[in-house]
Amino acid sequence: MRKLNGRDLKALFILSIVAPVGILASLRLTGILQEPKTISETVTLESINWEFQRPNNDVYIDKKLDATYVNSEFKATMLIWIGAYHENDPIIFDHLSLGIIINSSTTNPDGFIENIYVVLRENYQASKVSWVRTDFLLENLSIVDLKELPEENSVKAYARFVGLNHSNRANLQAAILWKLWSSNAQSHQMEISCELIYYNGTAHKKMAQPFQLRILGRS
Amino acid sequence: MGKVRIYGKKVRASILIPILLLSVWIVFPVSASSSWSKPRPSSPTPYDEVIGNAYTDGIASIGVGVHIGTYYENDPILGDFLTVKVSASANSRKGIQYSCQWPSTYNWYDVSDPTGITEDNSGVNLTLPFPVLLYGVEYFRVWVCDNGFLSFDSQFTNSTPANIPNTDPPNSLVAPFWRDLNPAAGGSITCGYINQHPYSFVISWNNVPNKGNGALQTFQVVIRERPGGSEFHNTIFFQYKSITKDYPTTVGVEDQVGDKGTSFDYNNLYNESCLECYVGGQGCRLEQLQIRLVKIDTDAKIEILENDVGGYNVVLKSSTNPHGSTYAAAIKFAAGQLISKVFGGCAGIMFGILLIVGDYSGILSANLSEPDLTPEDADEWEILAYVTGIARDELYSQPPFDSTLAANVLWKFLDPNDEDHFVIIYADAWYRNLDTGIPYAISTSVTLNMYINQPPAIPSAPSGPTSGYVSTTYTYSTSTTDPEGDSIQYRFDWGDGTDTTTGSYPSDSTATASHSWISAGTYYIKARAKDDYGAWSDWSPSLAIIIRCSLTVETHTISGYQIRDVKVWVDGGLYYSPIAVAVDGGTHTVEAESDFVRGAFWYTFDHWENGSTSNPRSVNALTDMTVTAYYNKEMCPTLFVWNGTEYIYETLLNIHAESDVTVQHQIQQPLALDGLFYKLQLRELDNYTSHIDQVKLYAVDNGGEWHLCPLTSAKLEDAYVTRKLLFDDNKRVDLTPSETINLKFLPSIPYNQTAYFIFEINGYNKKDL
Repeated sequence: MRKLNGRDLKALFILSIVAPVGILASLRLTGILQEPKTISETVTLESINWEFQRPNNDVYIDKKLDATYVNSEFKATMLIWIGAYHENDPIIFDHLSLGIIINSSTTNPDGFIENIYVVLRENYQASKVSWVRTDFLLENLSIVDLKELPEENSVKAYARFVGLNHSNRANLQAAILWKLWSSNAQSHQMEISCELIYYNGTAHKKMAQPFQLRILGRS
Repeated sequence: MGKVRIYGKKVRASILIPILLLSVWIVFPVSASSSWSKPRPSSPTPYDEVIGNAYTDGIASIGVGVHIGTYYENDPILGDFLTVKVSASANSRKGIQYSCQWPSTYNWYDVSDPTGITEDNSGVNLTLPFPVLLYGVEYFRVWVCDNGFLSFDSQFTNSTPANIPNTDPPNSLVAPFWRDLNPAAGGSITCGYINQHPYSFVISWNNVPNKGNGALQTFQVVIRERPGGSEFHNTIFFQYKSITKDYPTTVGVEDQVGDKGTSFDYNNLYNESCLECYVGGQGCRLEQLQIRLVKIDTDAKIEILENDVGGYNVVLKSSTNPHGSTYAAAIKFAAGQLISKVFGGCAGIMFGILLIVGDYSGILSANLSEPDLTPEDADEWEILAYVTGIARDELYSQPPFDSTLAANVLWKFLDPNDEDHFVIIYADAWYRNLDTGIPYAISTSVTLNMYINQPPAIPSAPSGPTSGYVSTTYTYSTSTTDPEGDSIQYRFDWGDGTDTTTGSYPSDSTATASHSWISAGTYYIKARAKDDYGAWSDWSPSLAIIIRCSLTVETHTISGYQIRDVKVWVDGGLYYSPIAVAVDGGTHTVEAESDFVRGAFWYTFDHWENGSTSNPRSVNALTDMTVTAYYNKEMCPTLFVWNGTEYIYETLLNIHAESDVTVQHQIQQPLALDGLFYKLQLRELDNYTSHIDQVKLYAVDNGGEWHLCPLTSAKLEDAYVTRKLLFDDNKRVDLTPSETINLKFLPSIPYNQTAYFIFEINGYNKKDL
């Protein structure tokens, strides 16, 4: 190994400053390191519910549950797209394909989408949720945390996104599989909550749209 | 072929694939890939099929199992996708080899706990006081057989010793002295734990007699507790206190499947000796297991369902910070660049120090810790998806002898069912010889292929008869090939609105089908082919067949009796009834003879079977049909002439009418003079009566002039009725059945000048048949 000469040491010195600063900047920019935000207002919208008799065969449902929230400074459309119920798959058993689409924007040029949080809960244990990661489409968003939890948890999965570049527009599309490991007599109820935090130019605000999906067991 | 994104740059997949595949071959000894190949369906299709492959390098073995679930079409959210479960299973047991040290130190243990074995050919299941590692498998119980052996997987009581190794049971075998012994005849089988160093478990056969000659055998097996934890196999001692060499005996150890074992010749044993069986060193252990899915097309994705990953003896710890691995990779990459390109190795260390002393060193160090489970999906521009698990013994958290990793996968297709897709699924195992430190890797693979099914080629034009008859069955053949070699079903269109679908035929073989047509006409037969997956070919060229029908013409009397040999004409062709003529489908002209004499009867056409009286008639023949002409059978006076020797039949005189009619008849028979007269007779043969008003005979000369021959006498039975027959008046002779009128005429011109004669009758007969 050759000895470090003066030029190398100079470069190392510069690097020792640039690297930590760069990493700090990138962590801040990507939202991994965040300053605590004070939410000045929280709006929780009325739950949108959907009910479905659990069939004994494959059923293409293709049903969209959509909600729009608009005020003078912010607009969000949230859509739960219920795709198809598939029965008795040898690999993943009974399952439902779901899509989640969120489009949001602020009207104030100084406003931006701070972050988006989607959480899926079900108390019944014999079910799991899988994110279909290759079907994610994000615009001005970055994934901060994406998790699927074991079946014994009531929170089955969640995803946390952070807005990029203080953009006043952020959109996401996500797909999930809701896997039902139960007999067709068993009912399931999934609560999906879409929460958005935005900055309107002067304060951070939060809105939440709950969805409730009920699959009724067949006696 | 699309492009693949590597380090942010797009590279043509066609360039990368050979490199990638080559790298696989270079890094891993691999087996030939097994394959599963199906056409891509156009609707949801459950498969529920399993395919696998395995490879061994003689030390370790790797297996891949793929369970193909269901193909879904047009899911509103996920589109087209196939569910697949992939498992990789590896073990390093093949490299385990027991050695024998002979002689070893003899140190007999007296153990007294009864095993409970007292019967011949019997055994018991004992709980081991400590786990026993035999050929890489850890056991907690053992079956003891009275015939001098232990089996670890299940109970056996074989009395005939078999050679080692031997795949026949018993396997997982430890045999200190396997021969036919009989504890029922004496002795005891005892066991005990030696609770002092060296800690051991002992099973002892004490004075157990041979079943054959009763000679007593005393020996024991001593299983030594492992001193160094799980990574070493237990050493096994066979001790012989008093044995005889009078029967074949097996001595040794054998693995779980009976393909490996170590045996010792029992003839070399002697009393108060010890044989030591041991595995030298720690051997080879698994370090890492990986499932790797390689796709080459850009219109597909591979999604590993992260919470559907599991395994045995594999550490499945999700990263607590999912993007940490991204940072870890980026920082490692940067560090690698620095180390290799800028400053050399020393700079890498410096860089690490810089990171650690920073405010965020805690976060970064957490992120730098590679998760033990590393799933990675393959998006459309990526070629590789994988999940990796660190192999760890679940009991001892050390590199194990065997390990399994499984994951559920969605194989997604982005094209509109017009592209072939395939993915190679590898199971990779890394293992290391713990004694030498040398690492190894092995791999095996399965290829899944979903191709766009091509329909069979257009079948050949059907081959078979080109003409035939209705209601007759004919057989036709055709053949074609399927591009994928699938079986083929054929559909024959018979041209009459019906079709026939055959059973399945191998590609490029001849299929046949039979049909009969119910109507005459020209039909065009064609065929098309369908493969196993429902893809139809286009229609073949057609073959024309002309189907004719049979037109039967019969002649009957009105009362229903058939008359044969009556002239009938079908489309102008002369036939004699009854006749069946093959005709094309369509309109035909049928004519029956209008009248004819048969014997003493006169037949006249009356009507057809359909009531029509039109003769000739038109017949529309599409299928076999019969037309019948009905005739009146009429009985009128019959004329006989004297030929010089006798009266012979001349003709029947048709005066069938309601009132008088005149009928002239040219005499055909030779009419001879009998003296001065021409003699003729009128006879009535039927049951009705002819009312005869007048009869005349003309002699026609050679110039065609008629000359009336005077009637000189007419005698009915005994009465003369001449005057009644001379004139056309109201006086008639009633000629009743069986009566005869004898007529005599004088010649009007010389006989030799007479060309022929005309007989004329006037009267009527109202008989109606």
